[in-house]
Amino acid sequence: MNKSLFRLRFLSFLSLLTLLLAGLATGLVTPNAQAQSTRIDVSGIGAHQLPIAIGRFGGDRPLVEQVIRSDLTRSSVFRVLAVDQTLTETSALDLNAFRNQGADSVLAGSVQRTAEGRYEVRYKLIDSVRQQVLLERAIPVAEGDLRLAAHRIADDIYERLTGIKGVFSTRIAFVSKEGSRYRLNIADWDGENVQTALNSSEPIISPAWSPDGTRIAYVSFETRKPVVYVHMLTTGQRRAVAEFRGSNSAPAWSPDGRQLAVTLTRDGGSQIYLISAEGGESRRITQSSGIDTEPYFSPDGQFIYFTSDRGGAPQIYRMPASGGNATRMTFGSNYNVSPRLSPDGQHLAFITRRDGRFLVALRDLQGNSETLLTDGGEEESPSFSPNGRWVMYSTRAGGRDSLVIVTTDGRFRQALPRVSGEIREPAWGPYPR
Amino acid sequence: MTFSANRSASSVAGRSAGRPVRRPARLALMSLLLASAGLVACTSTQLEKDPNAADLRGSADAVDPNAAANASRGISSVAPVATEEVDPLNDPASPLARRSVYFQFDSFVVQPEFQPVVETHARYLTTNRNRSVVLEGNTDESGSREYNLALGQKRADAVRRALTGLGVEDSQMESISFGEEKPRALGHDETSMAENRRVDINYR
Repeated sequence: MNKSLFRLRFLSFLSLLTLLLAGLATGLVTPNAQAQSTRIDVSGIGAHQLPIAIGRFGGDRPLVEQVIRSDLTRSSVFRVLAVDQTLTETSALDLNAFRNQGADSVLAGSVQRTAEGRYEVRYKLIDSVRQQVLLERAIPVAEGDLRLAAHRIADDIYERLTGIKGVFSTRIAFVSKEGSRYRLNIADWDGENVQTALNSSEPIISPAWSPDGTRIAYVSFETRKPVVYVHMLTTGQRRAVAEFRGSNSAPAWSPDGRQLAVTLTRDGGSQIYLISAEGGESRRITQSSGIDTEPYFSPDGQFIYFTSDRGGAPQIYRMPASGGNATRMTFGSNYNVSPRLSPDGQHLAFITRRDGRFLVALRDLQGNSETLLTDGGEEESPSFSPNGRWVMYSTRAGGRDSLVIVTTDGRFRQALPRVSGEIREPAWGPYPR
Repeated sequence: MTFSANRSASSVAGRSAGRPVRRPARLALMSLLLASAGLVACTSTQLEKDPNAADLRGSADAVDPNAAANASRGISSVAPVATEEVDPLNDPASPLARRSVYFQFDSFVVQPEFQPVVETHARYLTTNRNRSVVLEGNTDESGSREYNLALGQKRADAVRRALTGLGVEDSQMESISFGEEKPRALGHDETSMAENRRVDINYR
């Protein structure tokens, strides 16, 4: 195993944060995007991690086992044990030896070339304690999809051993700014495999994935005012769906993907409207004299959460998705903004200002308890992973924006590798369909 | 002051010093010329109170191209003459050159010290009904980008209301926001942040 690939740290929570921020500031955890071996700092407490042994896969495509190792390590759920030998799905394995070395499970496999540009990835996951084969699969794949195949295998392993669906084959969107160029980028969950969907000389903000993952809505200033676009990722086709007089911003998809809630100022003041995802007429659903913005649908489509200053300071409110009476949801600070609902609808992530510092907070909507997930101070744009286990957000450290993911229990966090320039406005995409 | 028979808007470059001209007399002459020759010329100035002035001004390019030729024929035809003038919008010395209204932290009220800026532009816009502005709100960088977009809008709307109160038509204005996205000052100190709490009055 490439030991330099990961630096697992089992340190106390507080010292880890210091370490992470120091790393960010010094560029320690901001490797060059071109570098194949990305160094990752996984912060958090190492207890209760599942030990898994991963050998070298057969064949000449080490990328596959590297990505699987990386995914499982980053998940914070696994402790990946180095096995410095090739373990294929047909190898005779001494499971007792693995068990004695502390590995509860073993992953073996191979990547075989089957035709020009085609491969078959085979793997086997074995429980070394019960001495059972847990997974055994063969995945035919084009060469360009080897990374995706590896993410899918990591998803399978994660789900088999934890009972929770993995997010390693999901993608993220974020905005980068380099010099005077703004780019809307799509990348794998780990920030690798970056592809640019939109390249502009004017700012881009607020990307939002359609529920089926085929489109992204965002705000572009390319016409010298904020306009909401819907952009088909595979074709690059895009349409201005909200281009009314004044400002158009803050797109949020309805769970059925047919509508967008947006903030428009066409009638004076920032108010929330519903429009078709294809564009067309708008229907106003808030009626306040102040600011109503940052709409976000509850996963069941019943409610819209939003930010409003109707009480004098920005707070998060909830109203029926078709409009109606709003209920205040946040307290304890005079600045609570950017509501995002967890996929199960049970938690609300948002940005809160405490003592002048902007932090990610998580509110349990059932128990009404609230925890702070971060302590950087310049956090923005929280976004849940589709399995609800992580929140991704942007933060500013060392004078630059970067992306970080934190588990919803607040115990593990890690910075994503940084492409050159600043990266911000993360949006975690849905499960692939 | 120089005189030219053929004036086009694009030829206006700077304010020329010259002999003082008695304006009322010139206006009367111009009216006569307009009436007799049926031609249109530009007489608009910043002091102009004639409500028709804006319309005349908008037709500045419609000066008869044969006017110069006609002038050489003697008094049987009269060449209309337009004075060369500076569009006050292009004059860096004009009060109209001030196009930013600054706001205090977390405030959306046009401060008294910026009232003259608003009044100057209101005067120009009510005199020149064919001109329109985009009011661009900006904020400092602290907090949510989308919320800052709304705060910038609130500032732009405050300037728009002030202009409306001074008689500017709604159709002459669009208020939009850049939020924190297009900062004029790039620093993170209070001076830079204050510079970015601003509405720009942008003629388009």
